Amino acid sequence: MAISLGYIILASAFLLIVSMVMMLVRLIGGPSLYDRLLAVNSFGTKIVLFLCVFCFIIDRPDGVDIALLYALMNFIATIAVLKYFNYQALDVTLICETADEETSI
Amino acid sequence: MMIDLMLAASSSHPEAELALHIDWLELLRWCLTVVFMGAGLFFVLAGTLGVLRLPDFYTRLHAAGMTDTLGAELILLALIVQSGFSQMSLKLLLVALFLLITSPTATHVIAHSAHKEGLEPILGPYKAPELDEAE
Amino acid sequence: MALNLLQIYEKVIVSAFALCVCKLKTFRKTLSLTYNFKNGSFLRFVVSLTLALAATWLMLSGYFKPMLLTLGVISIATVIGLCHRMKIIDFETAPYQTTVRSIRYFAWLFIEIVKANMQVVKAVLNVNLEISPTLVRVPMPQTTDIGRTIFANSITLTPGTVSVDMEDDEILVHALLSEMSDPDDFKEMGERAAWSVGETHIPLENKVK
Repeated sequence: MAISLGYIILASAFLLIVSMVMMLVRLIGGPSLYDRLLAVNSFGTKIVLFLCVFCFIIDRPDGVDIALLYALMNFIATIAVLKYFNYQALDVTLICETADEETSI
Repeated sequence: MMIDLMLAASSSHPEAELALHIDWLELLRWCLTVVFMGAGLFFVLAGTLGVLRLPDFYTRLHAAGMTDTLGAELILLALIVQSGFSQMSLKLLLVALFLLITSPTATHVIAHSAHKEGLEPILGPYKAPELDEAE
Repeated sequence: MALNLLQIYEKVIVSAFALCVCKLKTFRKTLSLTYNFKNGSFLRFVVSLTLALAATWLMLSGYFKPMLLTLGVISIATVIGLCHRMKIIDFETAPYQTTVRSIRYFAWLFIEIVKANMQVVKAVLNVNLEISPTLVRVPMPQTTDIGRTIFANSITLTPGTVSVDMEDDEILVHALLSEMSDPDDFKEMGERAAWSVGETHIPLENKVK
């Protein structure tokens, strides 16, 4: 039983890599910037899943911390890139005091 | 292994019966892991295929969202079931919760930015072009 | 060594707590002008936030050595202090009153997500790819920011619908299939979202159908 479960987890890691490679097609050939950002975001989610599965393969629970950190960085990187492309700068305050001048990404 | 268990069950030792009980729990856990992992991988692959197939940026968002929600949650659920109640399963639960919060926010931010930039969505009924027409 | 550290640690906790309580009694009158006390006192929000942060620390570290626990206490105190300076210790940071409601709402939402996933998978894996994207405006019944955030995030979390833009009281929703843009489904989800953050107190069984 234990051996076959190891094979299942290996196979799932392999299938996750296959889906990542498929996502790379959209990342390279995406027509617009937003398609590429979507592909990067989805790619990051798959990397988080792959890290969690990989921790089971090498049997070390510490690696889940890295997966958590990667999920966080993935989210922040997406927002930072979008902010840069919208405002051409990163030090823009997004929430203003008055409701009229309120801007958001 | 199964032969050993059968032999152990046929000889009526109390330890052998205990071993058989533990094995049922393991079997249930194994089945749950396989089912959740298979379903999660199916959703992840279907979502990736959708991102490649769908015609428009806004429609691709839906396929990516499918990967992010049910695919990711089911794969993490399979790992949680497999690891039992330990620190690792709690951490995996935290990863699942975090993905559940951040992925819709990131999707909304990308969609909102594209909408503000003026990317027009395809509206109305749409069908995949025939292969003969495409070539 | 360990015993000494534990004693010091206990003293620090007791004195810090005493300091907190003494200061808060004098500060509460001025604080009540700026903070939004929604059905709870400031101290309760602080305590629930501290408990949540401590649980997260213990979950992530997993060690119970005195030095690491001390580091954890320092980090939690820093976070609470920063939240206090940013003036965000209120209902949105530590909504302890609505924990049970949120869990019930997420259980309901998970079933909806599974249903919507089935529809989207069928549409995507169809050979002819029969989709009908639509843009709909959905009214937002919520009044608070956190209720609106939960509603918009729920719409995005359900595959097949993405909230694109938020105007005054409406959300612009992009739906993959035209049958997903049914206003009644959004209405039920909106009412449940408002209920889950405690905006309406009527039981849902009476209100929805």
